[in-house]
Amino acid sequence: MGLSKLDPRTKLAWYVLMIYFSLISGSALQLSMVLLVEVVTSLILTGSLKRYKAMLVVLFLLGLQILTVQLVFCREGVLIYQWGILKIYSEAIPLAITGILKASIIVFASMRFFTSSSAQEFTLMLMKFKIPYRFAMLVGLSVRFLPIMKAEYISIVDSQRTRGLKMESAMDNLKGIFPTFLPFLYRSVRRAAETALAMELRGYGRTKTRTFTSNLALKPYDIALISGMLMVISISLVNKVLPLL
Amino acid sequence: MNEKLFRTDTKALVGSVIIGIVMLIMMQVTGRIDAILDPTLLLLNGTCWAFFTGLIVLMYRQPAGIIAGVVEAVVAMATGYSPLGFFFLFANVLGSIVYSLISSKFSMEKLSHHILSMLGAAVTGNLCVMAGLIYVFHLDWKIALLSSSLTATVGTIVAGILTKSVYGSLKKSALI
Repeated sequence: MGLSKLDPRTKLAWYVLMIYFSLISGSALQLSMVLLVEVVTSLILTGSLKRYKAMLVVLFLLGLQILTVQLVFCREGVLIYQWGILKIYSEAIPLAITGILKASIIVFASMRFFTSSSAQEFTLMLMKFKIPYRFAMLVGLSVRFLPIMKAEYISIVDSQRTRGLKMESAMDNLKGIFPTFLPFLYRSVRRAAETALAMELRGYGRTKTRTFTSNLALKPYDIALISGMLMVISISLVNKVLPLL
Repeated sequence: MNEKLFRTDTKALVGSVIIGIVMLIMMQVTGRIDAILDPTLLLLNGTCWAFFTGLIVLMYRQPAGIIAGVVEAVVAMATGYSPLGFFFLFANVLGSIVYSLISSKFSMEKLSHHILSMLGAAVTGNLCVMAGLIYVFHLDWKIALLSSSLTATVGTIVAGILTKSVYGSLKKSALI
């Protein structure tokens, strides 16, 4: 059974389960297990992990930041190394590993959930949660406009460069924020007004309901999966409040 | 319906999505500059966040502020742009609501009104990020508090001034 066959609500339940376990797990071993389960299920359901390549670079940079901050500021455990005012304590590295694992689970689960369904499926899911279609349909609008707005920003940067604006070093980029950002903002506001007018002229928001070309329906395996996941969370919560012997 | 708090016309809804995407792009740009200039403080990023949170609420009220915040956080998570995107979801939503509640009490014609509204939003948003830094990254609470306080202070002052200036220009240009 592929990931695309599952209902978005089942994927949402899985996402909630992963976030819950990443937040309640305290040890590196538990977190590694959760991450392993997340990666293996993703591999089984999608057959490839290629799309998460970009995430690895971001996580590597984040991991370096967490490690540096823990090495410099952590004061738990015993002192293992001192060089001037820099003191490294024994708990710095375990805490950094736990932090990196938690961040990895959250990033991986978030990326998987938000890329696992189409914009229309998310719209239909929101409508199943009783959100009016005028709001639910904004998911599709944001997916449509993201590449357009990125292209617009790049074209503004290019046109300012041709007028002589330097954009080479970090300081140049800092100085270039206002000359690029303000035209981008004003053009975006104008575009928003034009798009809204075009949508209203096509009947957006005229009636309280509307029809869609497809519909969402929970299949028996979706119900079984959601029930199972909710049961796991409930048992875990009960166990937290009233620890079993 | 309180007109100073809510606006649900098509222009506000579409505007919230488009300005939410603009916010995301500018957060990426400032985030990259911050990664070189001040990797642990993220002062530019924090100021950019506070500025957009305030500007969207002033332009399109609620629920546009919440929608823009959710769009920014969700797209950041889906594209893997920011590992902190999950915490931004709460920071964006709560910061926007607090800004709305405070700004609805003022005429928003004086700089002090903008600074006060921004103070509420920046403190709320940075508290959410601080909780994330403590619970997920296991940072010492004193370090997390120092980092969040610095970002909130710079964000309040700089974004407060910027919001007043840009919102004034947008009103004069009759774009909103």
